[in-house]
Formats: sequence, structure tokens, C-alpha cells
Amino acid sequence: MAVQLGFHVDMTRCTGCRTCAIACKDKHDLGPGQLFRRVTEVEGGSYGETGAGAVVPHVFAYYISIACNHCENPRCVANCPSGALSKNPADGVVSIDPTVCIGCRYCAWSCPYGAPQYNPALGITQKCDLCADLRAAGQEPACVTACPLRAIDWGSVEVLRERYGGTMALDCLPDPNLTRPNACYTPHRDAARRLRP
Amino acid sequence: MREDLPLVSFTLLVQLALGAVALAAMATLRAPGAGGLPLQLLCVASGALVVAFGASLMHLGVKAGAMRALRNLRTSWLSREVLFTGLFTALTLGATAATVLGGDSRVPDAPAGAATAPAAMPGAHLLWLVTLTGLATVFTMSRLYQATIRPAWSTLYTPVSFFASALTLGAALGAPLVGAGSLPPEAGALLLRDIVLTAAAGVTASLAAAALYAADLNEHRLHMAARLLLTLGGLGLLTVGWYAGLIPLTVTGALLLAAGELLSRIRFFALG
Repeated sequence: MAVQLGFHVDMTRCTGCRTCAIACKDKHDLGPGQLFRRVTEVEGGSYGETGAGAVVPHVFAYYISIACNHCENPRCVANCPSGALSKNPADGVVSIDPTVCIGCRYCAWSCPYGAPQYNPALGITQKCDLCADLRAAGQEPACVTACPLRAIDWGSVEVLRERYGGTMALDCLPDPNLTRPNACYTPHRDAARRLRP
Repeated sequence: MREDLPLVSFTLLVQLALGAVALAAMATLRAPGAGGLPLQLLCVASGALVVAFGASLMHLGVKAGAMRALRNLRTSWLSREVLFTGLFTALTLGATAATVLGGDSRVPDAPAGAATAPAAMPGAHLLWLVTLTGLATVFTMSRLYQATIRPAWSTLYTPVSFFASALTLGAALGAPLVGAGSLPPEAGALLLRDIVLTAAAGVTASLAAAALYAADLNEHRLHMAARLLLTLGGLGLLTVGWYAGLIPLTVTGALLLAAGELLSRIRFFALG
């Protein structure tokens, strides 16, 4: 593979405004319930003792913006019965050929990140392709352009990891060993605190 | 629920067909001369598989592209499931047609009087081959769900419950047919005993697996209670019906068992 493309998301900058999700939805003209990029609020916490017979809540909340991670071992590609899903050998982007997809939804059941999504109006599954048409025109993916906090970047995952560091081993995400996702996150301090060993 | 209906129907009907052909094969062992029961079972299996194919098409967004589901046999369990379901259906229809047309081979050790049996006897070897293909079909079907990332599907509960459904539904179908007396009394009694034991094995395996693996039991307590009531009540009535020779009890037990399987499968897809 010449290069593996992917996203970097800086969770320390994300305010959960969902502009990325709306820009993606607008760009791809997605229907109700369909979001190639989603922003999820993660909340949690615990109680601690004050030492004076009372308890005090320790709470946290942060946002995570997630789309397809164009995995190294994409289960959606392996499980797709029609061969509609493929991983481009040139740039590592996982995409669906809409003329081949039969709308069985097996890819949607196979992805731990919820990337492939069924479009009932078209009867096929669709997903993020890193805005292939925009990239071909020399532009950035819609979510990257739209983010007002410049929290999302894209490019060669190798370069992104060198530039930002980051990880996929977050408590709010599935075990990265499942599919070896090609993305990286700069964790929010509360997400970082909950990093897996 | 509504969008799961095609898959609920497809999986249950294929498993019912497996149970039916396995029972037909068992019947050829117990009563080699009586072709009526295996033919009835084959007819039900054929009908179930044809309807199952229709139900599976209803699940697809692009029905005209159904044949493309065979393109990725190398890595996709769904492709393999489609292939084996096709083979299973073709063999079942073939065995049924061969039996109806009377051109099929007889069991090698069939008694001399077998030639006058009311229907031609399907070849035992053919029935076991159909059963093996059915087993492979249900295996690929369970691997398909196990290969997803859905927690409720990716455990051992899936294959155990799928094979248990085949046993239970086969028994629920066979008990009334055998009880109605299309076999010689002695062979019929033996087969009915086998069927009740098969149903008991299916129910035990399914409930044990559900207890071990089923997620969110608290959330679905009512569902689980209803399923237990139907399944255990059905098994109880089937057993009493067999023991007392009461066909209405047997039929009621069979219906309750089938309802229990339906409820269990609806829950399986709802949890996924």
C-alpha cells in the first residue's frame, strides 16, 4: 500500500458542537438517522469520601467524534457477501460500490464503530469514504473543513501519528486489536485517565 | 421487530426443515417399509425452505442482486450460508420429487412387503445426505452471526440455540404426524419416544445456553418467563401426550414448543 489515509481527532479541542456531523450529512445528503460521522458525549464518574462523613461526586464528560477508521483488518470487507466493500490498495480507504451492494446489512453488523449505515430509501449500505470526490478535486473531507475548532485532521496515518501522537485504545472505543483501526485520537484528559493498560 | 421478521422466519424455517429431514431419515431406520411419514416430512421441509428463500429475499435492500451474495465465498459466512441453503433446498426438493415420482431407491434392508407401502420410500442414504447438508447450512448460519460484533450473537449461544431449534421444531412437527398413526404401531411408538427425547434434548440445550449466555436477562424477564412457560409447558404436554397416547395433547404441546422457539428467536434478533 502506497499510503494509508485516515483521520486524527483532537479530543481536547472538541466541544461537541456536531458541525462535523452536520457537514458530512449535508455533503452526502444523508437521510434521518444516517450519520457517517457521529459525535457522542461520554459521561461518567464516581463518589469519593470527604473525610467528614459525606460523599462528593467526581464526574467527567467529554466528546468523541468518530467516522470510519478504514481499518487494517476491516471485518466489513471480509464479511460482505457480494464483494461490494473493498479496501483501496493505493490509499487504504474502505469504500462501498453502490452498484454491487445488495443491502444485506451484514457489514453494519460487523463494524465495531458503526461506520456502514443502511439507507432504506436506496436499499443499500453507505459509509464514509473520506470524501473521495473532494479529495480527487484537491480538497479536504467535509468534516475536516467544517470543524470550527480545527479538531479534525486527515492524511497519511503514519504522518498523523508522528505529528500528533494519539491512540485508539480509549475506554469509550472497542478494543483496537479487533480490526486495527487507522485513525488516532489525542485523548481528552478524562479519556486519557481511563486509558486501557 | 418488523424489520427482523424476514430473518426470524428464514432462520426458523431452515431449522424446521433440518429437523424434518433428520426425522425423515430417523423414520427410515425405525420403519423401513412405511414411506408415508418421510414423504410428509419432506413435503413440509420443501415448503419451509421455499418460503424461507422468499423471506430471505425480503431482508435484502436490492432483491434483484440476491445472486451477488455468492461472490465472496472465500471470507464471508453469509456467502457460504447462501450456498449451503441453496444446496439444502435443491437436495430436499430433489428427494421429495424422487419420492413422489416413486423413482427413488429403496432402503437396502427394506422388508419384502415394502413394495406395497402407501408411498414410495425415499432412499435412506439420500435422506442422510440431505440431513448432512442441512447441518452444514445451520452451522454456516450460526457462524454468520458469531462473526459479527454484536455481543448477543457472537457467543456459543448462537450455534447451540440454532441446532437446538432444529431438534425442537423437528420434534414439534414430527410428534403429531407420528401420533396420527401413519407408521406401524410398534415402530410409531419407538419413533415417538425418540421424538420426545429429541425435544427434551433440544429444550435442555437451548435453555442451558440461554442461561449461560443471554444478555440483559433482567431487562427481558417477562420475555424469558413467557418463553420458559411455553417451552417447558410444550415439552410437558408432548411427553404426557406420548405417554397417554392423547393426540390433542401432543398437538398442543407441539404448538407451544413452536411458539417458544418463535419467541426466543424474536428476542435473539431484538438483542442483536
